[in-house]
Amino acid sequence: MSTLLFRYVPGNSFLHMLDPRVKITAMLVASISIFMSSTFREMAAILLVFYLLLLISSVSPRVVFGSLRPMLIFLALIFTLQLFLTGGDPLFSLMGLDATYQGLVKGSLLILRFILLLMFASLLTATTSPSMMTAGIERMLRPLPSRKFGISSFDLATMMFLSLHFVPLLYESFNHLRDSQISRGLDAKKNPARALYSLSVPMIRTAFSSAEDVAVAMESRCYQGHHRSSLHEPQLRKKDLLSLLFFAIVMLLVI
Amino acid sequence: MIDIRDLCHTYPDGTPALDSVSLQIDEGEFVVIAGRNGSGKSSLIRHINALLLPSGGSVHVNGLCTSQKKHHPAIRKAVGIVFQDPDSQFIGMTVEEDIAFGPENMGLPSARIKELVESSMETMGICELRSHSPRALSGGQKQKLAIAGVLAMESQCIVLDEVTSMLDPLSRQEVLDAVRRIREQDTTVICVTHRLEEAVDADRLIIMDSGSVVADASPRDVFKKYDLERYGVEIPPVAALSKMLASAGFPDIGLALTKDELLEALCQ
Repeated sequence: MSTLLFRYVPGNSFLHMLDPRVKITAMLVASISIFMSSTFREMAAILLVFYLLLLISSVSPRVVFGSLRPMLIFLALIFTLQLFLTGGDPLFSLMGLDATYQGLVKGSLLILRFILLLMFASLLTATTSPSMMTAGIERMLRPLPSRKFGISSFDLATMMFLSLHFVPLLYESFNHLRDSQISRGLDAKKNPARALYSLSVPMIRTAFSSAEDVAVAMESRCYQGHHRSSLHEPQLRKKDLLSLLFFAIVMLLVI
Repeated sequence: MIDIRDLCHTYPDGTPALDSVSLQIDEGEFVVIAGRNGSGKSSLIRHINALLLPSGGSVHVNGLCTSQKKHHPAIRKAVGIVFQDPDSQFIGMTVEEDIAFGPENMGLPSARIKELVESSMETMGICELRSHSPRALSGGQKQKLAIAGVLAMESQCIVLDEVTSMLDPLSRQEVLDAVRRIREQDTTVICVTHRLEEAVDADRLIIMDSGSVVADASPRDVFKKYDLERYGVEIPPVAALSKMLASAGFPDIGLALTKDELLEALCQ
């Protein structure tokens, strides 16, 4: 199921309990150090840090690798391009193109970066519930002068939350549509182009009508777009700040 | 608490939905609205929650007129609505978060929201489902969650729009039991349904047909005085049986609404 991608895994670990703002900032720190690292040794050290965090989070590694799987083709493509298109000492040649040693190194580093980034991101989503994430992002955006443009941080947070909300919803209705069309004689395997055509129009209609339904439901439950409070009020404690500081120092030492 | 006067509604495409409906509903009443599909029931209840606005006439909730936009938050807090299809109304990723959506919109402090979520889960008997995803629940559980979401807003009036129509008999009974618990807390309940057996213990039964109210009385009077088949609704089996017995030469039986009443009448 598509919900396996970057899904939230409920739990009570130290990482689950941290303030979402701290985790989002830590994700930024991690991304910066991943992109600044330039050797395999540095990457191995970052991987080690990730492994320790994964142990603390008690999230199953399967969740993290589940998020990587759909990206494999993309990663393989990047690797192949780097391997053949970087100039240097030839290793072997295929169809007139030379794979080079420098290409191998460059390609491996590049895809390792992507993999590390995806792994950290999936750890972030696995330990932060969507509502906590939205609350965190909303608080972080609050100082921005977005109100001048007629958008409040609450609007932005709700938009984000709704887009997260619609992913499983649309996936479900896609399955419904496909099943009902297969039962009426659509052969999705034999003729994927035709299937795409006959599924896309009802899919768009469904998306609009369910958006309408959700809008009515939100309105009937007092949604007004401006100030909202939250069930989970994120609280920045000393523990949170210290953890962030510790993480940032570790990441700096690593690279 | 709800005062509807000469309410008319025409949809933008010109379809008339309501034709001069007048109704008063008092606090704490249990009102059932029935009628065939397209009789205007759903349009009527959407007016009570200010989701639809009158084309003519007026709707007042607690003295606030729905035509004025500034009153909408207060009106929607006072009247909560639960729709037929629960899937389209879930907003949270977990049961708890979904119930919290209404109180969050009202800007309540986090601790108060927790209390409200807790007490409405308890009333609906879904405490053990708190961290489940609403999508993973069964039909009956979904409707209970939808009702809990409205309960958490501490609405004075809860409108149930055919909430039992997609449920199997067992889940239906569970949802009805939960609704009974809500009524015991002096909440006004307005229930739209096709099954009149759900109306037997109502204070009032309102029958609608082509956008107008055709009957508005106690369920017993409605079953006795009106030819309900004309309006596309079926009287409950027990009442129908007692009517048949009465016309077949047992006039003493009268009109029984429940099995117990019928048994008692037969024994005599």
